[in-house]
Amino acid sequence: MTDYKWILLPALIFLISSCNGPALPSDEALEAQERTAVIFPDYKNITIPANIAPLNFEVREEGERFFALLEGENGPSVQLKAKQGIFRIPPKKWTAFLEANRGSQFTVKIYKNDSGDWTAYEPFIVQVADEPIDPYLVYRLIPPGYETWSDMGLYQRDLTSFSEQPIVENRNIEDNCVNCHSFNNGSSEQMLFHIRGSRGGTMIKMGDDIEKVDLKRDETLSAGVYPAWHPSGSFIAFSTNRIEQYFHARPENSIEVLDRQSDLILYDTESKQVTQIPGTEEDDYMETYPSWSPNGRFLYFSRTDADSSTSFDSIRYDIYRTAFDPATGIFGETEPVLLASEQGKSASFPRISPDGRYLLCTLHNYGTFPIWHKEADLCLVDLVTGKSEVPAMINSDDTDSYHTWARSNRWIVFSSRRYDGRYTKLYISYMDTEGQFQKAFLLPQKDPGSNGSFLYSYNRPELITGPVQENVRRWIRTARKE
Amino acid sequence: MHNYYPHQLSHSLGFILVMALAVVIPNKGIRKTGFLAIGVPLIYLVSGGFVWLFCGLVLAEGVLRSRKIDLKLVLFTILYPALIIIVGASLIFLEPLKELAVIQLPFGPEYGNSPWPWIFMGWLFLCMILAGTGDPWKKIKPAWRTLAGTTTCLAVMVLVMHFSYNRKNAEYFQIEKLAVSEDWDGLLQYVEQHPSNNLFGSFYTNLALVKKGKLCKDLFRYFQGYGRRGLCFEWDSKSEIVRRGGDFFWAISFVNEAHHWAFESMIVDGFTQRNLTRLIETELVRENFKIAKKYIDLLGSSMFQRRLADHYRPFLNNPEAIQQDPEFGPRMRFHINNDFFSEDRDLESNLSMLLANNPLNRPAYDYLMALLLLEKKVDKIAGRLPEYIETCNGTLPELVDESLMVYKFTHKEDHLSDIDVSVATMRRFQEYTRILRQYRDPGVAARMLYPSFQNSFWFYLNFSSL
Repeated sequence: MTDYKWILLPALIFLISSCNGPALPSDEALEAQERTAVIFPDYKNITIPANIAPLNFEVREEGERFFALLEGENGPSVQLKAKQGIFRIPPKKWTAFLEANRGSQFTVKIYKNDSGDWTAYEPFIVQVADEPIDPYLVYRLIPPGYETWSDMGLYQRDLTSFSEQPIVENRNIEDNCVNCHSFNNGSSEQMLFHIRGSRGGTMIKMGDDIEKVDLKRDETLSAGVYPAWHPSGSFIAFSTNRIEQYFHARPENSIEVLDRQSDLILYDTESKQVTQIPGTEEDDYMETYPSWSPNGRFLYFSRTDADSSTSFDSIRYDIYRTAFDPATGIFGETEPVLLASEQGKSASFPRISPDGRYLLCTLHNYGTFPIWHKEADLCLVDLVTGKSEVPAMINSDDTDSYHTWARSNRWIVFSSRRYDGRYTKLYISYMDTEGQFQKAFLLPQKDPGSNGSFLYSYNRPELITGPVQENVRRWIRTARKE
Repeated sequence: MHNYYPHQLSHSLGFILVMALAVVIPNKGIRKTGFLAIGVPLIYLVSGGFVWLFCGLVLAEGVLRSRKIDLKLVLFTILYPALIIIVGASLIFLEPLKELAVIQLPFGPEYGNSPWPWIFMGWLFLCMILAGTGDPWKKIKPAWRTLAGTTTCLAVMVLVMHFSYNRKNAEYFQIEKLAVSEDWDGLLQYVEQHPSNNLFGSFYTNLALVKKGKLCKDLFRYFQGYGRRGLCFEWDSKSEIVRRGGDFFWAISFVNEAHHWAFESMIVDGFTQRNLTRLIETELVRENFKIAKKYIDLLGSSMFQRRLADHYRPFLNNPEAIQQDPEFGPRMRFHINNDFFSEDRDLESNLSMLLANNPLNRPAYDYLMALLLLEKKVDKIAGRLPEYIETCNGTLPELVDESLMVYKFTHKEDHLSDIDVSVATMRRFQEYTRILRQYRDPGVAARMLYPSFQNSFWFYLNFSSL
């Protein structure tokens, strides 16, 4: 046998190399298509961060074999062959390719080979931004249920690769609901999430300390619901809500989640005191979705003057802000920021860009829970000029709602139901220095086809600057404490 | 145990696995020690708490065989598995120690505290002790021993079957089987022969009556002890309720609610053929084709459901085909234009709102009238009659006719309903009132009326209190 191996080896190498299929022919031998190839996800003419995971994609065209050529303006080209129409880009090659083209662009050329006949599709461009996106994204994965829940968990995804790690899964906490994870300015060192059920409470991590806190007080409507960390880490604002939910009869709608009462409270992380935020405890208004300005001097929130007698489809929220002095902990005047109700809209989820210039919120026709409103769109408010717009590049015909800013101000990640109308997926968009968003693209997955078969919703995306390194066992042990 | 509702395949497999391993374990020596050293952790990984049964069997066999307690065996069958579980709880698994110690065992509240697993385990140990007594059995010829053993096993099996077999459950499962296969005639025939006083049996009987257009004719022919709940369940997140409750909403073309219940069933039970097909159907009728395709693909990925998935595919992006389909078309046509919130606690309101959108929705109307009959609301029935009779081609079902008779009898001055009672109903009413007047004692009157009027609204009105 030993005598033959030196003969067999070249034959084997030849056989393997011949399995790779034909090489690309010269331009003359190509039949040109005057359109781009249909690909999924739609990565055509988008802007991406230089530290994003490979944009694996699928060609949705009839054909036997597909080839792609990625030609960087500044760097090498990458030639790819598709297996069953799916292009998987080698991570190392991709990282080097993006680094070489950072701040520039590359062209994607797609070719088809059918029984030796070559077709070239119209190429498309991908811009590579200079500014990186925060490397980690935390979200909850949950089947999009209405009243019941089963398995769910909080997960962190390394955006530079396809690695996804659980932070905590509810199967380890007696199947309780875990929700509303929140971070202080994208830091994984200060975070919290709620547990609802037999082990209910709010899990707060401050550096190395983790504690479970019951935020319900006699004078508050409920325990803390929607959280917002003050940048100093000394305070956390929460809404307290009396929530009701109803099921629509019309096929176009599904579920309505309404606040019948809501206020804002402030939790002091040092003294553990809970106080009502002045002006919000009255019954004249309902306030919810608190969000601090990056300098900690304003608390933004959604507010409505609707009361329990107002018809559900006439409840509309505006965005207000209240001044705050972090040194004394005293709140000042309240002023309007976006009077959405004057446009017949309701505004939710206000979030301020890290440079304090922009406010991004969700606009919908009425109510306080846009995630089941198909008409919900993201709205950008320039806090310097006061101008607001609903950017077409990021919005769709379906629900576009919860969002998070990257520390660089240039990236947002938001949740949208545009893919199939039910299972929320995450989209990334670049905002240039003029405040213009670029075309949003789907969070890259190792297998692009998995988007179709995945039966969980991505919930409440939060960009963070480093991974949550807490031991899962510690979360669970703390959660199980009475 | 298999007759018992919460018993799962994993429980049976656990028993079979440990029994098989307890049989094949080497008798003694280093091979037995090695088997235990490797087998115990593996058995725990595969079958969880069943490792205790395995260790118990091995220990009992060892004690019976050697007639003494072997310390090494105790170490391997008690301390070793305990150590594995404690170390597992500290380093590998995230579940609490208490859960890990008994995981997968068919005990505790979730299993309904059934005695059968205990009895079965007792039986295993008893057999072992009997076999271990040795000498007395050796005097019997092997053929007789085999025969006696087999006969004993069969006798025990018959006894267990006798005591554990639940005829009512079996009847109910047959009803559900007929309902799922939409054999409505078969179902009514079966219930006629095997009257069911099970909640789900009552629910499906009423569903079958609606499907056959007989609900307001034969309602009291069948058990109605659950009143409103026999028509439609109140919302409950329990698996057995959400799994079935949506069938009511699908029958009355309340598509959003049918979807809601199927969706909750999917969350509680995971995807099943039943909730997945209902999700597909409701999404197709609502023209949510993207998500319908997702569910069809999911259904088609199961080897046994491909044909069913293929049945649904032609409806994707094809509203015309949906319109023409006998199952989907009416539900698409009964479109709800004036939105309302579904009131799961108020069935009358739900049905009224649905009918305000589509007054010709006969199943919804039948259910509403059945509800009013069950609640003895004769005035409300009379108020609904002009609209209801339109859906019934001008002839009122018997029970509604009987309620109209009562209404006319008690509201002589009031002409709210101009619809006439049929001559046959009037004659029967005269006969009914004649007998009723004849006997002053209600008990005697009921006995006398029962043979001829047990299925009438009048009998229900006078003698049934829910």
